Amino acid sequence: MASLIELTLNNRLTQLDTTKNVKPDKPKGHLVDTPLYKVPFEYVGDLAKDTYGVVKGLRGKANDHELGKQNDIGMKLGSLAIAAYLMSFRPSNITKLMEVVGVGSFFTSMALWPKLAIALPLKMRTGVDIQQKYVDSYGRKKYFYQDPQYLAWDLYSKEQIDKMGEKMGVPYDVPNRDEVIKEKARKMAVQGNTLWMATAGFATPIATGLICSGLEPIVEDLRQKYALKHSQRIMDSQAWFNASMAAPKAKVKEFDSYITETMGSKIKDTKKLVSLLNWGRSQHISPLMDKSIEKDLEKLLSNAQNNVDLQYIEDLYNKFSSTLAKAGISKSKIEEYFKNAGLFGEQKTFIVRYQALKPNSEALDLADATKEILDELIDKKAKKATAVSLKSEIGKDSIENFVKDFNRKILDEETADKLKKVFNELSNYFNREGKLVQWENARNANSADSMRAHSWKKVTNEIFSAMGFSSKEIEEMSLEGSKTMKIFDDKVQELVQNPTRYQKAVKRIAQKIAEFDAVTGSETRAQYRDYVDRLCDLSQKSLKELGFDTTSSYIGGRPFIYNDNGVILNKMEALSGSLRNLKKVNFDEAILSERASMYRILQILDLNKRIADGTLEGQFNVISKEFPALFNPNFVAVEDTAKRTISKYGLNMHEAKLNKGMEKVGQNAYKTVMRLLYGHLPERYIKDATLDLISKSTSGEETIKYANGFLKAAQEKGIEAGYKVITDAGFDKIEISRLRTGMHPETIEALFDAGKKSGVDLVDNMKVYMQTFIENVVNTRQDGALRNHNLCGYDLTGSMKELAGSASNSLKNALVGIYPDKLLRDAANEISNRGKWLRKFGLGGAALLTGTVLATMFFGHLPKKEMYMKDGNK
Amino acid sequence: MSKISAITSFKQNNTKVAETQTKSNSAYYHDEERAKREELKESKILPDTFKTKFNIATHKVANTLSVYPTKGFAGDKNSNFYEFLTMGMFPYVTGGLTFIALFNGITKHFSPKYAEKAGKYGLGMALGVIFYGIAKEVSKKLISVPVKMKTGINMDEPYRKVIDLIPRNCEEATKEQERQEKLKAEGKEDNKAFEYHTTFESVDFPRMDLYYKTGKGENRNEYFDMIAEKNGFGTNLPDSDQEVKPFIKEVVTKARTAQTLSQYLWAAVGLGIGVQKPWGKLLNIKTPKYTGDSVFKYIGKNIKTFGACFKDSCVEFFNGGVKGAINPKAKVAGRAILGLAVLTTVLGTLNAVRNPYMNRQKSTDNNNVFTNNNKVQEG
Repeated sequence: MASLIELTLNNRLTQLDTTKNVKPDKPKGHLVDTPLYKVPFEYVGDLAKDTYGVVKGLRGKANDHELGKQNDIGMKLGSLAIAAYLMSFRPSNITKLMEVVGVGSFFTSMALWPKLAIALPLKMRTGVDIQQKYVDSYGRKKYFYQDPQYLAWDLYSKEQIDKMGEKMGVPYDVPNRDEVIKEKARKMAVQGNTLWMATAGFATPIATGLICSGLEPIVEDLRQKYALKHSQRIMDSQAWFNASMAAPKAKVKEFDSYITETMGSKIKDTKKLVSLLNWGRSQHISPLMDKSIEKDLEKLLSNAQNNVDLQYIEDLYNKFSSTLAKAGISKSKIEEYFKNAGLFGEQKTFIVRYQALKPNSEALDLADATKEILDELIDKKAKKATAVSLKSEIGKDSIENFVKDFNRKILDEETADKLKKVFNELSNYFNREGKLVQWENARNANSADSMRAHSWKKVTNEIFSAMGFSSKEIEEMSLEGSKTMKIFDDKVQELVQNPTRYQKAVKRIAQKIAEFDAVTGSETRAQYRDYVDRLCDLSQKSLKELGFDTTSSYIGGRPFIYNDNGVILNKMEALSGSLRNLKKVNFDEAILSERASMYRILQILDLNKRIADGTLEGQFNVISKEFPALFNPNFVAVEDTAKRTISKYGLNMHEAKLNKGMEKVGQNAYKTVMRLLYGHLPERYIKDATLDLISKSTSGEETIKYANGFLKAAQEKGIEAGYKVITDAGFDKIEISRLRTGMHPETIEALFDAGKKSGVDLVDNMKVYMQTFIENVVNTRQDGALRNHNLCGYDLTGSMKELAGSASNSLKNALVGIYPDKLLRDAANEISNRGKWLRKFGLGGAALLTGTVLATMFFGHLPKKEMYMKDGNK
Repeated sequence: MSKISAITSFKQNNTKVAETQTKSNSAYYHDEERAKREELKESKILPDTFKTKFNIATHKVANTLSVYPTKGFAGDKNSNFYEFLTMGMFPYVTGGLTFIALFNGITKHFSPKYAEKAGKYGLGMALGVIFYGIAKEVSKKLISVPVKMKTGINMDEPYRKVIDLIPRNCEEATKEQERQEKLKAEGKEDNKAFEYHTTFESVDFPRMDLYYKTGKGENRNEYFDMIAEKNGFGTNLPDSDQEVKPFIKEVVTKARTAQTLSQYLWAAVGLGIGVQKPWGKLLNIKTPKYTGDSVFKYIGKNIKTFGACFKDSCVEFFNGGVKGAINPKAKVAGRAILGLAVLTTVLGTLNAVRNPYMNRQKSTDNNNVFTNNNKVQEG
């Protein structure tokens, strides 16, 4: 069919009045003046139009304008593809997100640069908007000044042109004034567009970089908040808790096809099956989970004990006896043994005997049994002599294989069904764990996405800005490891001399630390423990029902028993081979490690403050009374060494140098010094001082009342409980805290202030940390935690193995945290790298912007001679 | 005339034309007076050869760096949209270089550990930017070449447009006219400027007119006959030009759309290859002083290294990493982008070269016959 237009045209031309109806339509063009709030809608509308242009293009019907606009679509598409690809490389969510932000910033800077740097100053000065858009009669949106040789001036009203002229300052006596105004505007546009082309290449990437680096913290904050909320919502909704969450399709398919393949045959090697079942393995716990599943599989796939058939034992006997006879062992001896062992008689006897050998074994492991028979039959000497021939005759492998092969059940429907159920149950576990991991990752994980990493960055950044390091100092700290602590120490010395600055700096740093403490407080940890319990309980129960006892108990484990203060009483015992407990401990220790690293910075500041105003010396004197060993001529040396070490290494307990320093003065002195550093004054002294404090601040009768209350609580529940009594009674909090922690009053005051906003008692948190440190690091090992520590190993069967030599356990490692020099140097590196980048490109960007704006000042100039030309500029 | 012979004869003629054009063209560039005068008069298709393209590129680059911005900053009346668009290459190149600088500019100020890390990252991004540009430009050929092979339409046929420059104002116009008259007598008028376009650059106003043969004894519609024959419109058509013009326009529009969509995807593929790990080997290249190689050996060796890096990077892009360290997300994303690029290219080309006119022509023809049974009513 011919189109309607064709038909109409045909009719007009052939049948009707040809002149009347064929004439141009009235022009419908207009200037575009979009208010700011409509810009997003306009953007979407334009995008839709452009996309329609692509469709038209594919049909071969697009016009030049639409083809040109396709470029925008293609560019956006390509940029998104690039962002998607680069995202797949980025390790964390925030870096992934920044790729998208990058694309957005790129397009924004590309669009905004000519508007803000060129068009806006020109418009403000002259009233001419060289980025003005208009819609032509065909609905195509274009830049008004795009083609300076074809300007649709009729879209501007006389008033609008006059207004421009007034702002430009075109005199009224100019002949052809409108033309002059238009010419000036045209000139401006050509100049402005040329400037745009000249500068955009430099401005767009720089602006993109600057926008991104400005947006990163904001985006990160928002993402963080979202991740916290989102993961909490998942946990609250309890959807994760409900059963039957299937494994990924590919995994299910793989598992099913394996079962179909092996159906009706014996599964000799369980490795493949283990890896199929344990599809959600995490690197950290995989070996243990693998082992548990393997053990359970052995049981599931082997013939049950009471199914040991006589034929097999006969076969076994025949094989052994013939081979052993060849090895020179008399037949009678073998027979005797087998008879005793019950192999020829009741199977039960054999099993009883075997179990007597290995009282704890539940399953009959024939592989081990054969080995033992061999061991018993052949005495050591004979064994040596016959080992070679035996091996060549039957070979150990072949015995084992023979036994294993016999031991295995043929995979039948029932077992396959059971395996499928186990697979589903484990899938449930992994899926639930995945949800929990998401919750955990948002808060406390070793990835750039976690809140822990986020606050780490905040705290480390705050250290540098609060203490007032110059960018040059930061750079030096980042470049040379040896200088890091030196520069830091100089700054600390400078700070401690000035109480106001000191308190301000401590408060600022502590505020950020308190923010972290607030979200990783006991509530969060209790919540996590609850989630872990729910997760593990479910799987423990259902796996046990399926007969996967080892895996079940590995996941479930023995529950921790906590005392009133939250200390685990049965840690060593309960940690043995339990995923539940491992998870809890790892979670807590990760938080502890981060806290420790941060607290140590505060401690360094506090310690130097104490040294600077002599408090430490006073405390030394007190301590030395408590430890008579220190009453010797060497004491001065101890004190001196301690001070020097502290100022030099900033509490780097791991440093061999420090240890060496301590060796000189002896272990007792070392412990004493450490106690002092960690605010662990002798109890008797604290009591005396506390009583003294009470007596000073109240009247006689009340003194006795409070003192008695304090002493009673302290005796019954420990000194901390005593403090609670007197702080509750309204005694000077700072004074009491000073006694509890040994810290400087100024530090304590700053810490109290800092914790207010987040509702965190930092002093108390630090006190708990210090105490744990003393108990677990100072009192147990002379050298503290070492740099090359190993995490303690856990194995399936039980005991927590503390690795020998240079190793320290994970708690110690957590308590020591990150060494201040490493922390400071890494942070300095990041800050200084970012700073260098910002300085260089920020300055470049600023210079470019200034230059561009200044250049626009000279645009649109028309010499007087030309302005007053009679014929104008036609 | 058989189909083959028509095409062959066109090709032969075309080669002849190309030869003469090359001759005159080269003459123009070497300022041979006579040739210059001839050439100056009107817009003309140039032979689509490497040399022409090189010359055009040189012309554009030289002008972008000198004449166009000078005119632009002066607000010259003759500074037009073409010059603005040509200058568009400048932000492209400087933008790429600035991006490279952003990623590499301050690496050397970092401490060694960070510098190495940043250096590798920066190199990846730099190569990414370069490959982005190369892939974007080269990939257009993946569509234009098959389109030319199938339909005979050369989307990149260059032509030189002669522009008559506008005098700056009326007063000057009179003087200028006199001056040009004088110059013209000597054959040296300088009120012309050249622009280099491609004939189908605008689909609204394609320069089909340049394809007519107007010489004595020449077949006026030779080009359109060739297109008609090649695309099944038939031979010896009375108005082959009228028949094939809409077809050409449609092919060019479709192919251009396909190019626009696919080129950025290819660019993304280029960037993807640029950011792969194997390129890190380039950082280990020592100076010839260090290796003690002769210059040729040195260059040869490094070209080899570059080639090996390129090959490995392509493989890694496709596989999402090396065996054993596959990043499944990168694998999926990489293959998806590559697949999309190939798909848009292939489907876009197929869409462009099919000829819907054959069927459409027949059906419209039928409808346009006015019979008693098929009377057209108004509305």
